[in-house]
Amino acid sequence: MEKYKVIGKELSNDQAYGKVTGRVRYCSDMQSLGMLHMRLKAGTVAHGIIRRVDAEKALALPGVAAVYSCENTPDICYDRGRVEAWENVPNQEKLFDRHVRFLGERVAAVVADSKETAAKACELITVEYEELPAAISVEEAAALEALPLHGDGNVYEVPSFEYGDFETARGEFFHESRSHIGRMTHLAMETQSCRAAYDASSDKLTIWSGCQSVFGVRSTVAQYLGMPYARVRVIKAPMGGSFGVRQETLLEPLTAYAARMLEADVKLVYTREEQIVNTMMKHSLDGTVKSRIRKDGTIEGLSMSCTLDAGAYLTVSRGYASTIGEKIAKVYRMPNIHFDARVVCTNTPINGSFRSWGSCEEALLLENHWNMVCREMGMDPVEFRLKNILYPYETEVVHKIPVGNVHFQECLLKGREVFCWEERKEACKKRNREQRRYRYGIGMALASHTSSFYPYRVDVASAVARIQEDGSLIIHVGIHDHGCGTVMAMKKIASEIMEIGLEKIELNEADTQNSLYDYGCYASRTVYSLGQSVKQCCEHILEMARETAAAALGCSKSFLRYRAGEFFKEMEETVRISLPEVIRYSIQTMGQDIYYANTTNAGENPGVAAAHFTEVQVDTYTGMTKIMHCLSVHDIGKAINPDLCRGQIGSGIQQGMGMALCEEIKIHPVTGQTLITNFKNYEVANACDLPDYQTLLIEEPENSGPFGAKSIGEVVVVPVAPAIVAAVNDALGTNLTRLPLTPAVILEALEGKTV
Amino acid sequence: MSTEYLQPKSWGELKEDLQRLTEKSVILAGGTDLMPKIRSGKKEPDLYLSLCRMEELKAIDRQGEWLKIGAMAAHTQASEDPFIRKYFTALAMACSQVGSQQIRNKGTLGGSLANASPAGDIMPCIFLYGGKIEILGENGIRSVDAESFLLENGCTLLGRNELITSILLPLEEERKSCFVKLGSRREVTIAQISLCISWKEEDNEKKDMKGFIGAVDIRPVEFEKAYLLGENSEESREEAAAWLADKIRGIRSNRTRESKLKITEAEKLYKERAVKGIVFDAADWIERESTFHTGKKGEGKL
Repeated sequence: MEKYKVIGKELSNDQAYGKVTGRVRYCSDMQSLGMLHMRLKAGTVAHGIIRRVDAEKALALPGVAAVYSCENTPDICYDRGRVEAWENVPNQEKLFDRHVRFLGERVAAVVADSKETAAKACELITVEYEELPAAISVEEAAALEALPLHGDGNVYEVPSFEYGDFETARGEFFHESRSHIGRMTHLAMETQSCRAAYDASSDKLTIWSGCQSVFGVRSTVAQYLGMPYARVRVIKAPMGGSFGVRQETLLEPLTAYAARMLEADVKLVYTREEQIVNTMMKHSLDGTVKSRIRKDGTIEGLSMSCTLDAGAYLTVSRGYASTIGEKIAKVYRMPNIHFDARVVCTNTPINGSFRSWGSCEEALLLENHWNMVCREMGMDPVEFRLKNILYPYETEVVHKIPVGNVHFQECLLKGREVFCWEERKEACKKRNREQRRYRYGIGMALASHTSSFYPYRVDVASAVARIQEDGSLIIHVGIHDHGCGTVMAMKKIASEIMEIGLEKIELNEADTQNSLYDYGCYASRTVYSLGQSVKQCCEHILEMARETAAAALGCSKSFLRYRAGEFFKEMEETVRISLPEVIRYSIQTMGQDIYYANTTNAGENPGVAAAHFTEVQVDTYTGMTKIMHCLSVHDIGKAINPDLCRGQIGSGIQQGMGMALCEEIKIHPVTGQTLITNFKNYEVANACDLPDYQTLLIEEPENSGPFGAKSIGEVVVVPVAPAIVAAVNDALGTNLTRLPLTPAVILEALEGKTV
Repeated sequence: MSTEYLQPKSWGELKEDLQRLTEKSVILAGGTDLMPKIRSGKKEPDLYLSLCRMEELKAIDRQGEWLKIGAMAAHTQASEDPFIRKYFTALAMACSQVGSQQIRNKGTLGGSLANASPAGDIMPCIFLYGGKIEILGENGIRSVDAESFLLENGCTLLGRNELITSILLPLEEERKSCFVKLGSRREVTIAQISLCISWKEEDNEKKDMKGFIGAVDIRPVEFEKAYLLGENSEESREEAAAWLADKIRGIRSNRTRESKLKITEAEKLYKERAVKGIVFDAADWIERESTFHTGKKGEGKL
């Protein structure tokens, strides 16, 4: 095994110091002289047409600079999900629309000299509505008589997928299951914020946003304002977590519009209520899975059908739904597959991007189904999976590309052993025989995720490196650190190649003015794709330095070795030249700077493997579920920063617990009101609820990734919820698949049932 | 609009400042409930009367046959106080389970009583012990029974220029007690149901059992069949749970206002179904009680 200097070493996130000392300046911390503050007014009807907006009193309030509403803003549509300038998107959203489509939707904005004044002015605005019948549920919205929310009806079909023929697939056993997943909020600690400053003297707009795609934001805003892209600069600001909520362009068009109109520096910071209601939520989804299985447990066919509630605007939902299907065959070998899906617009808050983009949904539907199949066929869930998993480099049939060096089998076998699966299984059975208040169960699930965009789109990853006079290094890369330490991962990659200390490397995050083009940091591609680009860029610049060193030392570059910032002759180690001397020779004698711009296109998309094993205790009197122990086994290739990987795994377990047991944003079925708008009422798994979780990294290197690395950011959450669901069902002998399994849901299931 | 902030340090200053309160003024006694209300714009006070410098109001002292707990005693302080732990175990247990550690460090017992949230953990305990509440007003200090302090409609009888100075609990050597609650999660939780029980231990028998159940109605509800929990049998526990489930069902069916967050039938019926859990928790505790004071930390969140 290769000896690395910093790769694989446990070093903390490079922002940690700034964060714990409160010195990192998030967008909401930014201040400037004369900065204006924006606040939004929320609509009070679930569906209606605005007859009139009366802003007179608000405008009369001292300190108010402007009031915006459907009365005075352009009738131009844009799309929050757009990334590429040429992307075909639904384009249904306006800054303010006369047609109000959900309760709490923004109907006006006030810009004032303080946020307090802006908030007060919002209250002084009166809006008259003509109310329309609202369709809150998917069933209501899909009904023939439902009023269309947009010109093209409420139901949007997603292209279906067929492989083989499920209908004629053989297999002695037929199973059918239905799962429901509720809406969730992302729970990013930082609420959404955006600052936009327009400089009239240069006709230039600068936007600061803790986003996942500066180029996506720029294409949307520049086109909306009709400004040349070159004059709109988007800077990625520090981000207090995303989990998908920073993936779309939400606050930027409105903030930028106000900044441009007022020729000012304008800031908009969401409250927690706005963060929940006015960003997007995780889709609520109903899915049906059918399967045909042979006697020996091999899968002959799978059919999956799902319906997603898009909320009031379509945005990314069609792509999100189709991604569920695209991820259907990344884990198991299935000769016959059918997938169909539809999304429905309803008069409820918008649903959209969420961590794992469909992987969680796909895994919940599929793994719940397999675990039910195992219960009904009396098969062990690990054994069942061992019979059906893909081998390394096998072709996944949806995209017809190899899955790469992925080790499902090792995850299952090691996980079974380390978790003591068989022993725990026996112990649970034994304890349950006592028929007391508490019941115990075990469950597991298996999942995968992507490492790049390939072949969904061309994965463009660029890095620019410049050696400075003292041998230190500046790198520009279109990276968006979500707060999880990807900047540190890039620095480690550069440090490993350049053999210089991390403190000598400055890595600039995405900034449309200084970075080469990048779609953005999602699909868990950052380390795999951008990391590879940084690695190649550093290798190249080191080669350029070697050539210069050879010229300076008057020898062939083939004679030179490199170690710790110095080139030297292997035969005569006293003949040496350091990086600062190389750059000095390059500039002073050769008249050239040493820099390199590198673009890579990932031509592979290696899968990662994740197996989660868990044991639960269910209180049959109160319905409360406690995670007694859990183990996450991950094949993520080489771990660049293992302790941050373990932290990520913990975050996945925490979020997966919420998904399975408690997190749900409830919408009132009649009024369409979002009933949970704060963390007091939003139930999440707290630190004290987390078990002393165990992690196991299987570090089989992936040749196409930097130092063998693949991805980790999203897959960590994917198998957690279905494993917990399986464990609860194992404990109670139930088949519960409507999430979350709250105490009320569990007691309802136990009502009248003797467990 | 300017807001005044008063911070009296002595009784004299406090009495004077109290007279300046208007309908819009607020008393700051920890702020764990008040500050979120103000931040959200639900209250716009013209004046804050902060009690944080009133050292006398933080004391916990024995006064003859009574234990006097200053209104500004924080939950953490109360939960760690040896007197409270010994004589008013239920209150110590309740205090150790309020909100999060930060809330317990900041929030005060007086603040909790004045706020009179139906889900508050302190009020049922004060009812249980037959405690009195001392109120400072224009004519000096008066003392009222806890049960008359909290009016039938869930409001307190505190007037605009009045505040709680202390809580008085009767000291009785032999009386033991416990508090259990069921929230929506294990910690940092607001009670969905709380249950406090007290009893006398005589000749290894539990006598004169009293109980109150909290968070199921606007006032703590007396658990008239608390004696069942002294009988130490599976049947009596089941009977106690069934009685409480009936009680909660009755309260629910008489309620005119629907709960905002309980949408499904399963959610509406949850409290009456889950009450069995805390009845058994309480009974388990009562059984173990003799080992409580020397018991290991963490058990019962104390």
